[in-house]
Amino acid sequence: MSLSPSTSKMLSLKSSDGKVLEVEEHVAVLCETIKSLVEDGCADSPIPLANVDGATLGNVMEWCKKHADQKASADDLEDWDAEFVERDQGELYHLIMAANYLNIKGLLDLICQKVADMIKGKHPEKIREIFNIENDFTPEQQEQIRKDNSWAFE
Amino acid sequence: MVTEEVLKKKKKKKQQQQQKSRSTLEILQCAIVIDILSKLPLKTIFQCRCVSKTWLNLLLSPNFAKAHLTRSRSNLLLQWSKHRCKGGQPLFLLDLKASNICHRSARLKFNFSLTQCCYTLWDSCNGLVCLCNSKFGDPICILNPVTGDQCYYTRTRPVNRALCRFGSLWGSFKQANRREPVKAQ
Repeated sequence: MSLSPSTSKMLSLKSSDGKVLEVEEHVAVLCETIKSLVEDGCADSPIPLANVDGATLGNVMEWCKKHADQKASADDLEDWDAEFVERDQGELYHLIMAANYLNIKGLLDLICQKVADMIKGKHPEKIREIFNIENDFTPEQQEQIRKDNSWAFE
Repeated sequence: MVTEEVLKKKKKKKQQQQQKSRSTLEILQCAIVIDILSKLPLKTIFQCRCVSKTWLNLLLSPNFAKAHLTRSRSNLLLQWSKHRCKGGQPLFLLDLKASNICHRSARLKFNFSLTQCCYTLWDSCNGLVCLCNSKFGDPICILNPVTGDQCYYTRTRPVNRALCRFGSLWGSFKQANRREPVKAQ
């Protein structure tokens, strides 16, 4: 079975909220999960994606479309990716979960790196504030753990 | 009626708060959070230990150590003998890719009793370090610097003291799939 753009047919993907998206096969197969369905010949009817909502699926396919474009240069993709990840946290998490479910390593790495960049170099107080994490240490535990890792705050 | 309205408002506020708190990293699977944390520089990782118990447990888990080791560049853990101090000699992580090999990328401090004595870094392999008493060569401590786990061994036969002092340091070079001795100064 050829997956080249010239012979690519359309696939229907159905999101968790019932939205159907028509996507070219050579774009959709960037998702390993969909690729194995296509290879097994199980991709005829709209493919139900129970874990991905319509908006997120749209974003994921936008990324896949760009990355399936063989004309795009590496620099071009890098710039485009940098712009693509400029989203609010909620959207980023949905993209991470979708990329994980659809098994798109490139997208998963990209978004995880974006979240890591948001953590990088920040103090625990700031990290808790950004990610809305509850500090469940007792004051004594807090003091001890801070003392044990004091070098990292120098 | 007034109380009911107040209760309703409170309930709504609580729901909003719950929705807000759900849009945090906590909705992600542990494996993904570990993946994200393993992309961080060493110093931030140690700072992240102070964020919450959940993060501390994730960062101390063997899965995190494995993820971090897979991603890590070839770094070496070295002892810095120039600054001999009361609490033992400090260990540093050297970044082999840095332009200046003497660049100290991170100083590691371990919360273990051996630092009371003068200990020498004997060897390191696969993310574990072996320390021994620099005077007697005994006991020997195998330490995991990521998790802080340690175990002690007492040797039955006396150790050659010269070997202790000039013991070579073996670093694992993943890319070349070989080990090379590195002189620790």
